[in-house]
Amino acid sequence: MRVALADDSLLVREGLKRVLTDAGIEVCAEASDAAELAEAVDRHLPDVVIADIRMPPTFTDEGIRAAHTIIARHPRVAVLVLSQYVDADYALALLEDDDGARGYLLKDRVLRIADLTDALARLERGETVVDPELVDQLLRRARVASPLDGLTDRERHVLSLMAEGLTDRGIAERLWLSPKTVETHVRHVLQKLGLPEDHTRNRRVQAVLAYLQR
Amino acid sequence: MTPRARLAWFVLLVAGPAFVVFGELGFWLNGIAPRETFPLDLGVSSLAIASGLVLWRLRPENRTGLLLGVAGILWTIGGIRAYRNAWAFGVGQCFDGSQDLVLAHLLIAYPSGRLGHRSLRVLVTAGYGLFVVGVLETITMDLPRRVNAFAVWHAPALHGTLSTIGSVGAGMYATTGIAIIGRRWLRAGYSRRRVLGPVLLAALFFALAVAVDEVVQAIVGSEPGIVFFPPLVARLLIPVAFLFGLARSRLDRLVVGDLVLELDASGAGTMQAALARALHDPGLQVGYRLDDGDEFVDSEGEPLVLPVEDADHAITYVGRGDAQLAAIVHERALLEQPSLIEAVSAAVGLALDNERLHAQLRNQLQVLRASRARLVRTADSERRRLERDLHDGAQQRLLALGLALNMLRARVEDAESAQLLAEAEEELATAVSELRELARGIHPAILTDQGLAAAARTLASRSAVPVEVVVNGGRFPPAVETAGYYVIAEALANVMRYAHAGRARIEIREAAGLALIEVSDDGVGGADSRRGTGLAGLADRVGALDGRLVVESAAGTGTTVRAEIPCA
Repeated sequence: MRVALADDSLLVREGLKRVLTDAGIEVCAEASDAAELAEAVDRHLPDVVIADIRMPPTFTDEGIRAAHTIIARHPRVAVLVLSQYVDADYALALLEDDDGARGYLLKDRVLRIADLTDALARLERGETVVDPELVDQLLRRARVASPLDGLTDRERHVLSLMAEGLTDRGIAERLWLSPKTVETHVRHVLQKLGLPEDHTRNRRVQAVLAYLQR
Repeated sequence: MTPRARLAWFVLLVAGPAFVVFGELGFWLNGIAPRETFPLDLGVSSLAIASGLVLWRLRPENRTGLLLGVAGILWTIGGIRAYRNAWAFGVGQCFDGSQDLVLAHLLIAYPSGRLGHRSLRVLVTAGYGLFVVGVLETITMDLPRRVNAFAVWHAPALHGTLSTIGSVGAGMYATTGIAIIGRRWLRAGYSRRRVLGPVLLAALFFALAVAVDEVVQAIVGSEPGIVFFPPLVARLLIPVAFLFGLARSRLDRLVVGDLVLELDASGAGTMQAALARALHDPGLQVGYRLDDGDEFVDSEGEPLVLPVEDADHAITYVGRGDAQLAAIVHERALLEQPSLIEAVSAAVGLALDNERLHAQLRNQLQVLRASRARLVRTADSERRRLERDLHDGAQQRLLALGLALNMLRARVEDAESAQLLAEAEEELATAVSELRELARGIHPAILTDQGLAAAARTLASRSAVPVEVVVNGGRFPPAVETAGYYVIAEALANVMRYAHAGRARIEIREAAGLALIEVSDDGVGGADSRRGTGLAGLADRVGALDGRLVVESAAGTGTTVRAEIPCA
C-alpha cells in the first residue's frame, strides 16, 4: 500500500512515516499543507492519503476541505483525516459526498498502530471509517424515549459498527457472525430507527451518524 | 452711541417726514392737486427711516439699517419738484426713483449688509449707474431752463434713448433681483426662512412689481407708478417686513422664558429638542464638553465631532464664566439674532450644566462598557490562542514522542523493557486525550469552525441529561457565538449539578436583531443568578455585548436561562 502524508508538524510526520514503514506501508509522499498535498497526490497517486485536519493557513478544517478536493480529482484515492475533535459535525462534513473512501479518526489513534493500519486497509478497500470513540460518545448520549431503546444489545453493537463505517461483511468478521445474520440485524436496526434501507457506503454511515447525533 | 451718530439720528428722524410734508406742501401752496401717492409716500418714507434707524441702532455694524434710512430720505426728495423752482425741480428729477436703487442694494446685500461676492458688487454698482442715466435724462430734458435748471443740453433724441436705457436697465435689474432673492429663498434652511422670510418675500414682490411696471410703462408709455400701483405697495411692504421681523425676534425671546420652565419640568436628554424648538432650528445639535479635554459628546454620551462652520452652519459656545460647557450647532441664520442666542444661553445655563454632567456620565458608562467588551474579546482570543498552542504544540510533540516510543518498543528484545514501554505508551495516550479535553474546555474549536449550533449539539451529546437542540437561523458574529456557547455550557452544567431534571432543551434563534440563546429544563428550579459565580459571570459576559441574561427559575417550574444579545 502506498500512502501520502500531510501534517504541518515535521515531528509527527517523521514519526508516523517510520511507524508506517515499519508496518510495511510505503510512504510515497509527504506534505506540510493542503496545497503541497494536492500536488503530491497528482504526482504520486497514492492509495490512501493521511491528512491532519488542521493545517496552514487557518488551522481549522483544511484536512476536510483537502479531502473533498482530492476525491473530486482522483475518485480512487482514499482519504483519512486525522482529527483532534470528537465532534460528529466534522465527520459529517467529511462524509458529505457519497463517492470516494473517507475516514475520520482521532489523531491519538496513531499511537495504536494496529487501529491505524486496520483503518488504512479498510479505506484501501473503499470502505468508510469513523472513529469508534466518536461513535461511542454518540451512542452513550443521554436520550429520552428513543427508538434506540428498542434495540437489542446485539443490534446496538451492529449499529455502532455501522456508524464506524464497517460493511456488513466487516461487521460479520468483527462479531463472528454469518453475513446473512448481520444483514438481518442491519435491516432490523434500520427499520426500528426508521432509516431507509438502500444506503451504500458513505451514505449509510452519514445517515446513522446524523441519526445518533439528534 | 457717539454724539455724531446721535446727531444723524435726530436729523434723519425729523428731516425725513418733514421733507415729505414739505414737498406735499409745495403742491398745496401752488394750488396743484395733491399727488395720489402722497399718503403712501409719507408712510413709506417715515416707516423706512424709522425702521432703518431701529435696525441701525440694534446692529450698528450692519449697513442694512443705514441703507434703509437713506432710501427713506431719498424718497422725499422727489417731492420738492413742486416748488416752482428750477433748481428744486432739477434736483428732484435727478433723485426721482433713486430710493429704489438703494432699496435694491440693501435687499441684495441682505441680511449681512455686505455684498460678499464680486458679481453682486458689479451688479449693484451697475444699478447705481441707472442714477447717472437719470441725471443725464434730466440734463437732456426737453424743458426750458426756467423750469429745469439742469436742462443745459437740448437733445430730445438722446433723451429718448436715455429714457429707454433707464427703463430697460431697471427692468433687467429687477429681473436679476428676482433670480438672486428667489435662489436665496430656495436655499435657506428652516430657521433662516423664518428669520429672513418676511424681508425676502417683500423683496421678491418689490422686484416683481418693478419688473412688471417697466413692461407696463413700455406698453402704455406713462410715468412710473401712475398707471401701475403695485410698486408703491411693494415699497411700503419692505420697511413693514423689517419691522415685522424685529417684532418676531422679540417674541422669540419671550419664548425663552417658556424654555426655562420646560427644562425644569422635563428630564435629562431633552435639552436639544427644547433648544431646537425655542430657536426654530429643527436640525440644531447640542454637544457637551467633557471635563477632561476638548472632546464633545451628545446627550447619550456618544462622541460628537463638531462640524466645520460653513455657509449654513455656525457654532455657538455656551458656558459659565470662562468655562465652555457646551456647543450649539445651529443654522448660520440664527446669528442674525445674537440677542436671541444670548437670551437662550443665559436661560439654559444651569440646566445645561446638569445635562452636561448627565452626558458626561453616559459617556463614561460607554467607555466602561467598551472596555469591558474589549476585555472579554481579549480573554476570548487568548483562550483561542491557548487552545491552538495546546493542539499544535504540546499535543503534536506528545504524539511524536508516542510514535518514537512505539518504534523503540518494536526494537527492544527484552520483554520487561517492552512491557514498560507499552505502559509508557498507554500513559501517553491518556495524557494526549486529557490534553484534548483540556483544550476543548479552554476553547472548543468546533465553535469557531462550525458555529454555535454544532458546538451546542456537541455539548448536548456530552450531557448526562437528555438534551433536545432546536436551532433556527444561521451563524452569529464570533463574539456572540462565544458568549452563547458559554451560556449553554454553564447552564447545562447547572442542569446536571442542581436541577434534578429529566430533560433539557437548547433553543438558538434570531428575532428582531437579537440572538436568543435559551437553555431550559424541567427540574426543581430555584436557581439564583447571585448564587455562585457561574451565572453572574455569564451575565457580565452577555452584558459586555450589550445583551442581557434572563434567569427564570421559580421553585418547581424548572429553570430557563436566556441570553438576548444584539447581533445585527
